[in-house]
Amino acid sequence: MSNSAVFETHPLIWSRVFFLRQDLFDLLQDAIDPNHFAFRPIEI
Amino acid sequence: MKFVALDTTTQWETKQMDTVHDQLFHGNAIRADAPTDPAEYGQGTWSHSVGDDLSHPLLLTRSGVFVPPLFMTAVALVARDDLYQRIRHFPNLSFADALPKKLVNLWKPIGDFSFYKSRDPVLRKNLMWPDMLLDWLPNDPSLFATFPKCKELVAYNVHKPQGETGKTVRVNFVMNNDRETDVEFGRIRDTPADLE
Repeated sequence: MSNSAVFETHPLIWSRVFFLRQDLFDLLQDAIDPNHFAFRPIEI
Repeated sequence: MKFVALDTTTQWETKQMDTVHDQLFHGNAIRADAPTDPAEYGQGTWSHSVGDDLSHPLLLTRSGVFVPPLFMTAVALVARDDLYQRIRHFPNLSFADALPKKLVNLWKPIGDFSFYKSRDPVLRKNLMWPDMLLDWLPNDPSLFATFPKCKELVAYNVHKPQGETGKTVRVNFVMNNDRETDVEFGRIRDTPADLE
């Protein structure tokens, strides 16, 4: 069993929030401009 | 396990809404195998499920003048090829092709509100509906030749799997743009072989 590094949970097509594993987010961070993305760390 | 919740924001540092820039930056997309009837949109076809056939490309409608390294259309997270090359071997991450379907010849940097003062008759006619910008601007075929390769980061929707297991956690949190988001999340139990 393994877990996808990116997933979503919402049943609707709008209001989408994607969840990225922290280490993947770190790899992408220079491409994630706070002017265009909202993000918040969470622990599952 | 640590995750980061990611959403788009249409606000920039002055807290003004910049819908035109947001539309051009993130764009729209539809899956090649998506239902044509909007009434079917809520049935999950627009999300990826474990075991989905990923050979159907994501079809992009966006600005062809500027393509950021990472953008989030309404239905997917998309990486430009240079960013894709950096993450292509990341474990448990799948990709699908993201191809341009319609490219508009317009770009407005963040905070540039000149769109609303434009004397262009097409823009003036439609400036009341900036959120429909990509619908009413024409396609520009000349932009396809220079459009970079893009890949969708496949995000499996765990809404159904978690419902089946009953192992759900509900969390309220406030995103950076102050929009309160109520998210129910869990972990995928079974993943296809290509994720192992």
